[in-house]
Formats: sequence, structure tokens, C-alpha cells
Amino acid sequence: MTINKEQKVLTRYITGRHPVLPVTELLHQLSLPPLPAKEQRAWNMGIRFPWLLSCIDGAYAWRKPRSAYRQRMLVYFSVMESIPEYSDLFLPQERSSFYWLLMGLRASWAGLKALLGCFLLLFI
Amino acid sequence: MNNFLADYIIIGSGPSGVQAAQTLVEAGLNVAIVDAGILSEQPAQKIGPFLQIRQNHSQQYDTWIGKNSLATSSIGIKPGSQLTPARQHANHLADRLTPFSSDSFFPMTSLAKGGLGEAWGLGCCTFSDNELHLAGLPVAEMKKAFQLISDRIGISAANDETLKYTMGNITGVQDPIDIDPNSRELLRKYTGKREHFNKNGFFLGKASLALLTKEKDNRAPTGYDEMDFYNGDEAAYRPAITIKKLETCANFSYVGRLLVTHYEEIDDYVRVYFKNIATAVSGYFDCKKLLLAANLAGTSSIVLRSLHAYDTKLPFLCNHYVYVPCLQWKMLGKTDNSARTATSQLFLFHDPDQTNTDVAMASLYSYRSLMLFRLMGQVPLNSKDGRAIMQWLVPAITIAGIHQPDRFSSSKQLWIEEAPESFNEILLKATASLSPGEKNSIANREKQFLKAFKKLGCFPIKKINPGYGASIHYAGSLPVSKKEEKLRCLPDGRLGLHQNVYIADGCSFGFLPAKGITLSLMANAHRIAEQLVKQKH
Repeated sequence: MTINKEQKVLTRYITGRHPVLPVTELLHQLSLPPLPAKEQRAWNMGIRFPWLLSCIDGAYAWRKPRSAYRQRMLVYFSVMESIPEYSDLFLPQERSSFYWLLMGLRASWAGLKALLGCFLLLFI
Repeated sequence: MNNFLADYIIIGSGPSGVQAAQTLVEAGLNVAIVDAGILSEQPAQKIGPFLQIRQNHSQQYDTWIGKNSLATSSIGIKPGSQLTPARQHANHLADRLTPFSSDSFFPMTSLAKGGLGEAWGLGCCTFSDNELHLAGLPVAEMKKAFQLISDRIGISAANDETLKYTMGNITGVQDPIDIDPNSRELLRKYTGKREHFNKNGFFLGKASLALLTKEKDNRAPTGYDEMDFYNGDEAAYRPAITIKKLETCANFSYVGRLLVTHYEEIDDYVRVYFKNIATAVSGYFDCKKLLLAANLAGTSSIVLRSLHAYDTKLPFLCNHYVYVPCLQWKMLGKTDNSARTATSQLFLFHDPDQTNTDVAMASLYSYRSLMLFRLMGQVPLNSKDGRAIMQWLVPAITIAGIHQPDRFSSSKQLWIEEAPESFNEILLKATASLSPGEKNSIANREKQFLKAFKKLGCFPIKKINPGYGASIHYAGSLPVSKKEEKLRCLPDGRLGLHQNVYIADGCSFGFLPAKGITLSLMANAHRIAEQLVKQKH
């Protein structure tokens, strides 16, 4: 079983780490929701240009949270979350009381990326 | 030709059905439970504590999500979408075998062995005298029945100021569960501002649950492993525990795989018609007395079809329900893992006139033993940044589920239509709408709860309305009447204008308090069975 490009890109995107074999094994057993044409084009673009992924994903999460695109992304998310090697990225961790500053900045940045994603989706 | 299965046939193996069965079986009567009996495809097993599994278990995907569920978009807010894989059989096949249609009422129906008890959150509250009176249930008999059911199933509860809303006069309950750090903090805040809360009609206390904190009848107490809705731990009471016990008795039988469609009273016995859910072959059993305990949808459909009352509209009751994720700032970045259960930790009651009649209730849970991806489906953030932000927020998230009491209104009705193409040959339909007055009163009460949460240091993020029906508390289609009337129940549970058909579930309730219905369902079912025992002797 080999790890394909989509799995590599999405593992890097969600966890920031390299994919491990259980990700591929699990995804192999699951059926991913099919995407309508426009969402498929957006999906392909994200895989081809991974630096655009958080913009496109953010736009769908904001504007169309029930879309097939988002459902498919959540399948990937749930797979990553159930891999023991990545559990430290999903389980609560002790943080300093100033961590909210960092998270506030990150949320604002995510908002900007979602705006950019909405703009991008007009042309896809 | 007669085909006697048992003297007493009970339709439905949920909390009501099994408690009625136990009372009849213990009195030496010959009893059978008949239902569709859908079993879990992924039986619950004891697999270890939540954190240990999360960090080490390579096959955990099946435990949390189940291979069949996620890809078919189980991430949602509709009733049943929050069921864990070990409990998803609770509404499996119900849509296909017992079709239901409505654009305003979205109930969860169950054909599972154990019925909706398989999806029960374990909350146990008695109805007050006033509530029993409004529901049309006899106070003295129900009080005795509450005590008996508590002794049977094992309840853990605190002797605090919410006792009058939770256990009432029940004695001999087990110690309450140890609550988690988030809930301890909420309780501390409440204690500091108790006077303010009480003045506004709010009372906060530890949850009373059908969850053991001490061993009982060879059932081990909770291990605080946060796996209450995932594993097959018998610390949590489920109807399956009673069925297992009854199956050792010679005068009891459980017959699954049969969907009861209707009945017919013939002379001094009842003929019960069914369809096998595997083969679609129809058949019948005979019995002396029939007890219907198939919940709102099941019991109402069976009665209406048996009486050929197509298009006759029945009333019904269902608690209005919303849930509110809240943020407890103080708990951000904290990872205290002590004393964790996945059940409700605290109950907040709102009783403005303090008469224990018009009480609304919020159950408070900590968001811990659920997965982040379920939250990710609700937040407008991309998966990369969302993961980091939610990982930080989760220890501080408390989910409050607010239930409100429900009374009859002419805008809530259900009926059946003929549908020869469907498995059970009928289509159950319902309509429900709220008057502007009801909407206002519900919204006002929710506002007061949100204010109270803020005062507890628990800031509401979003109010989520999963739709009318999501409370999974249903009742009232055949309410109690003192007169012998069609489609009404007599106080002893007998269906009006019938000789040998009894209603043993919540369909006979004339009012639906917000406190959770399951304990009262079980007590009422026992009460009705006890009267049948007295009749027999």
C-alpha cells in the first residue's frame, strides 16, 4: 500500500507532519463522499497548490459548512485524529495563560485566509 | 386456530417494556416481550480508558466513528447524529421499516433491543406531585414505583438542594459521581452566588444518574474511564441488563426480529399481528393481555391501525430542546484528568415560582470524551488552524442541553395514512408548530438560562436548535382520562373501549415535565404491571 499525493498533502496540511502507514490503511477502507464538479475542481486545486488549502477549506467551512468538500475534509480530519501517532495534536495540552494571544492572532489570520478563499472560489 | 405465545405479551423492549415485564415475571406470570430487536453491528466492549485508547489503540477509528457512519455524513445536529458507533443501532432501520414523515417534527425512533434506552443519557429525575397530577398519574402509586425502580436499577445522586427535583422522596440511592474539574469550578461559583441564583429560581446540583458508584447485583461501579457511551460497561443501567436477567426465568421469553403491526381483540384474548423483519413473512400470536410499550411512534401507529383510525389525529408531547456550547475561560489550557465520566455532570433547574411544577432543566456536560472532528463540523475555521484553536479551547468547553416542559396544543398532531408500499403498510405523519406565545415563553426561558451560565463563568458561544423532536422525550398520544373513551387511557393503563389492551409507555402522560422522562416511564410501566398482577390474584 503506498501513500498517494493527496494523502501526503492533507496529512501535512492537518497535522504538519509526515503521513504514517495507518492513515493510508484507514483511508483505503473508507468511502469518501463524492464531490460536485466545482467542489472537485477546488479540491484538486488545493492538492496541486497546498499553500491554497487553508484558504479554500476556510471558505467552505465559513460559507458552506455542510458541503461535500467539507464533509470529505472532515473524513480526513477524523482519520488523522484517530491515529495514535498524532494524538498529541488533538488531545488537550497544558498551555500558558498568554496562549490566547497566539490563538487570537491565529484565528484572525484564519479569517483573512477564508476571505481570500471566498474570492478564489469565484474563479474556480 | 389459537397460537398462544404467553399470557402477557409486551410490545417493545425499552425501559418501560422491560420494567413491566420484570414485575409480571416476578409475580410468576407467563410473559413474552416481542419487538424488532435490532442489535448493534459493533457490540460495545470494555476496551479501556478514553485517554489510553486515544494514545495507544491502533484500531480506535471503529470505536469513535465507525467505518460506515462518517462517510455517509453522520456529522450533523439531527437526532441520532451524536450516537456513538456502539449505540448507533438505537435508530438503525427505523426509517426503512417504520416510515415517518413530517416537516416540523423530527423524532428519533428505535427498533433496537432495549429501544431508546440504548441511547439514554442516564439522567434520573422523579416527577413532583404537581407534575404527576398534571400528567394524570396517581401520586401515591407513582411514588412507590419510583422507589422500587430506583432499587432495581441503581441510581447515584447527591443529597443537595436539588434533591426535590431529582430524587424526591426516594431513599437508599448511591453516592453521586465524582464530578470533573470544570463542573467543580461551576459548583464553586454557584455556591458563592447561591442567593442570587435561588432568588431567580435557579438551583444547581450534581446529576442524578442510572450509573453505579458502588457495586450492585454483580454490576461493577463506574471506572471513571469516560467510556460510558462507548463500552459495554454494566455500571450504566440499560434495558438489556434486565432482559438478560429475565431470560434466566422459565416464565419469560424474548422474541426479536418481529415488527408488530396491529392487534385484534377477540372474545377474552388479543391477537397480535406481526411481520418478520428478515423474511417479511406475516403471522400472529395470541395472548390474554397485551401491553404496548413501543414509544410514541410505535404505540400510536399500532393502536391507530388496529382501530382502522386512518387520518384520526392524536395529540403528542415533546420537550423543546436546544444545546449551548459554553466556554469556561478559567479552564483554558488546563489538563486535569481526574474523575471523568462522559455523562452529564450537573443539573441546573429553573423553577421561577418554586412550586416544582413549571420546571425547566439544563444538563451540563464537559466536552472531553468526544472527538474534535465533531466540533470542527460546527466551526467556521479551516482544518489546520481550527485544529490548533479547538485543541486549546476543548478543555474549557461545557455543553448545556436545555429542556423545557411541554403541554398539549392543537398544533401538535400525529396520524397514520395507508401506504401499501412501505414495510409496515402505513406512513406515520406529524405536524408541530408553536404559537407566538409559546415561542416567546421558550425564548425568554432560554435567555434566562444563558444569563445564568454567564453568571457561572460559563460563556455561551452559540445556541444550537437541533429541531423539534431532538429531546428524544416523547409522550401524550393516548392521555389518561377517568372516563371510558376511544383513544384515551384509563388510570390503570387500560386503553379506553378495550378489555385487554394496556398502554405501558409515555403515551398515557398528559403533561411532559422537562426533567427527563425515563425514570417516570419505568415507574409507570411497573405501576401498570402491578395492577395487572393484583387483578390476576
